Amino acid sequence: MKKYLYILLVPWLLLPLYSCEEAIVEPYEQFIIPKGTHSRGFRAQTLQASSLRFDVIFDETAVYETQTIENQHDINKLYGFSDCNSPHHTHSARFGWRWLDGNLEIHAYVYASGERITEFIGIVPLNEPRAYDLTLSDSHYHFHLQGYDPVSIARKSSCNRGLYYMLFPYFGGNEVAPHDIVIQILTKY
Amino acid sequence: MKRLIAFGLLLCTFGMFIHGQELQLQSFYSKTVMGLQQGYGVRFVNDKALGVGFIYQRTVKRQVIKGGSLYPFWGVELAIPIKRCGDLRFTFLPKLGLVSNQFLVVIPEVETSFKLNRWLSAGLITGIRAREASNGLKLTIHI
Repeated sequence: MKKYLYILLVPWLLLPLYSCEEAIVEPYEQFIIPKGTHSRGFRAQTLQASSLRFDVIFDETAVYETQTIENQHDINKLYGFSDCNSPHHTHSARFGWRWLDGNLEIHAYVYASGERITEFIGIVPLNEPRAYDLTLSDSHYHFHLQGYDPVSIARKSSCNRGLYYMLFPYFGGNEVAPHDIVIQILTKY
Repeated sequence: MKRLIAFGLLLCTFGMFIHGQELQLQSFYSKTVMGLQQGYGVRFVNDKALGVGFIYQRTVKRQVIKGGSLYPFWGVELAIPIKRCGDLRFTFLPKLGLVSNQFLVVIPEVETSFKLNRWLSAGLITGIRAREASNGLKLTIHI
């Protein structure tokens, strides 16, 4: 009989599931690409929905000058995913960015059957959040940057069910980061 | 996928009757980065407390933002006992399955359960979902 008293504890155990109010400050995750590297290292995470929605804040560290002038046109990778059971150099979709002519440009950056396809999307200001949406459909990758028209690129993978691993900020191109680069990302579920 | 699960369930039920395993029915709520998820499961446990089960969970509808996903998860779980102290049990629960019948995910969890009586136990579950901490409560019926 005494054991039944433990049932009285159940309401107390339920308390952790209850929140009085929503958090006021949304926690951005800070990605730092250290000087002299392409990225901050390996990180394992998988995609869990057909739409990857997130906000990004770039700051002054996104302003850079490459050692070789032509490399300034290289597109750095921001955030995205590899397609179903494929290495990312075969099938993947990511947002890309670069600092060119005094602007921070955002691009769609796709590998489809090993072929690299990029398309300019828009320009974003420093120190201000912008919303990004990368949606996977049966036939296309749909890129949407807040304030710009959506861009769609054909998807060539016929696989649908399996592992979609996430791809995180990566500097380059050919060159490594000339200084620490800080990118703040807030993933929305 | 559903046929595979049904076949696995049938196979485990058959094995249970042969080897005298225990059948556990589970109901749980888990607070994850995708919101509050509700889940159900069935688990077959042998005499060494090792178990295998089938799990379904999804975000509670009222918590989903407009146009958002319910993140429905179908999968299998392994129950690997870590420690037992009287009626208190610690179990490692790696789950493997598909979200939205498309995205393969692994969800590692640890369950702390307390046996209330012969038929019922209550537990706390803590885990990692999309690289964020998750926690929840579970009620298990032992058959």
